[in-house]
Amino acid sequence: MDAAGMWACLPRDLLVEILRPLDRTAVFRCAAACKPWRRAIMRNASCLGPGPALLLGFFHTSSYVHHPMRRPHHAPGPFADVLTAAAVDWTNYAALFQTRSPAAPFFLPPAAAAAAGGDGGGIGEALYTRPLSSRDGLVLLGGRAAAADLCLCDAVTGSCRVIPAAAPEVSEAGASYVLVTGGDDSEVLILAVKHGEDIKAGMTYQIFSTASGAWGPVERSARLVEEEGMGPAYRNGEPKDVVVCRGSVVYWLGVVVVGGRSRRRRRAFAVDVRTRRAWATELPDKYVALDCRTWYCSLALAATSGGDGQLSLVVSLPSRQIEVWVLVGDGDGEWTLRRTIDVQDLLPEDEEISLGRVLWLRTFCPRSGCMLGDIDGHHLVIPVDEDIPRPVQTIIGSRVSCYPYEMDWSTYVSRMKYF
Amino acid sequence: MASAGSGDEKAAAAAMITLISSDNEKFEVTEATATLSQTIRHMIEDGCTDGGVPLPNVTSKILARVIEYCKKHATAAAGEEGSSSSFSDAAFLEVDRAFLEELEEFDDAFLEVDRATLFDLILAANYLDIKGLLNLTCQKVADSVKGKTPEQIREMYNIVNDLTPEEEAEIRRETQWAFE
Repeated sequence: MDAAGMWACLPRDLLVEILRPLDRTAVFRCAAACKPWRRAIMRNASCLGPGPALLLGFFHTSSYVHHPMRRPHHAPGPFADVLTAAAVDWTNYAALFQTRSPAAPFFLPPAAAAAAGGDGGGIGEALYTRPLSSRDGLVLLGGRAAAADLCLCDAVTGSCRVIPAAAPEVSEAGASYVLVTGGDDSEVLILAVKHGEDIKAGMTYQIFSTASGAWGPVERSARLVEEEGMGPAYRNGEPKDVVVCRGSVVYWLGVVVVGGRSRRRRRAFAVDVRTRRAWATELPDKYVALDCRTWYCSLALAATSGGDGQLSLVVSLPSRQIEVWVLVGDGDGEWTLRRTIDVQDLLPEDEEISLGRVLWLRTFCPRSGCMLGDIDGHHLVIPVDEDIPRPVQTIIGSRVSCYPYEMDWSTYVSRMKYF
Repeated sequence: MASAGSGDEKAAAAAMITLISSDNEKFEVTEATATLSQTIRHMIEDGCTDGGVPLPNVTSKILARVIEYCKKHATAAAGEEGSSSSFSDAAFLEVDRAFLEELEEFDDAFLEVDRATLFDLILAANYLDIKGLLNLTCQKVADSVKGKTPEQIREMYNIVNDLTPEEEAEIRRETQWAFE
């Protein structure tokens, strides 16, 4: 018979040796067996659970009017509903094809309500219900009013932090927010950009740092459209229109109106939140003009995985093909068609998709290199990065504004509670 | 170093080493068997094996099992070497496969032990630095926890649950996707 506690006291390096071949689910279950095992796993996460980043689901609000807006429940955790709706374990390919559950309802972290002065009883009166941006397992939530406080939630730990609203010059008419991580240690930057303004002569923005705990000054970027005779320029505001490259460069898709007429040209606008440099980047020639040729295409920004994180443009065509373009080289880089994906092959065989429907791109998941899109009510998660195999998950849901809940394995483990 | 030259291979193979368990039992083994352990190999290379190799971390019961494993695998290794020079390719493959199958059967049977013995074998394999045995025993444990819940893992390995119900609930919430 085993001496009690013998296996719990297995030397750490040997436990790691044992767990090395196991998949993440098994590793997590072992991490829930006892404290010594949990500690060993947390300290050695880098050599356990191999595989790509974890895409655990999507934070979203449903805008589909017939969908009942269920009130969130207290137990068992703040994001339980989101997680059960679309938990994707990329190491378990077989399960991906079986996951079929209704879209998640609204969610509200109880801690957010408590932090905002509620005693937990007022959860029905949801304070922070609008996801505004997400990154590395963090989600930024907005209140009901446009200029209200924000709430930064860590979906792994369930911890929440109330962030004061940005300056009125930025947030009064509504602002777009982008979470930027990956700088010093655990510092998170929140970039708030004024919504709806003509950005030809520059963008108005403000940056919050969790390290300093305060918003920086309201700033004006450099001029973004240099050519003479151009009309106003605008930044698009959907989740798919924004991406963070190289750790600090935020790109948006946008348009420039040409010569005061209604002719519009697509362009990408960028701000580097570390250097404060701002500039405009041309798109592939084929997709510059916003006309009848490209009207029914769905365009989204993405980034290549790995350290370089080059800007990519993903285009979903009416022919049910997806093109992945990559901007090679800095500054005046060149757009190269990296890959073409046939959407038809990815659609569930037993489902009838109306002819003529286009796969609408919804959001890019930077850590796992996937694009979320939907076609005729089917949501597909499509890897746009060549290095990753091509599992596809379909979620039956309504048209939604989605933000990915994903992070690298080591980021996930580092957030786990140490007992 | 002693077994390096092909000329004195026979002599080297015949050289005996005495291993002494923690409970002072002596085991005579060939150098070929003993050197599956990197720890002992280094001792031999350093010339500190006169009068026997004391292994204060390994009991006689476990040492006997470890030697059983090393003997089998040392023979297999020697057999493979012999076959590669004296058979044609096809025959070599045939013999090779037979060896591997036999070895696999041996390994499977070898692992039919209780959990306490398995634990001691892992520690011994680690201490003696026998890579094959360490991989084999660790894999056995890994296979056994696959698809098991934390409760089942605890029960299987007699692990006392030192997490409070609150901590357990917290863990479940944190990694709910792993428990579905």
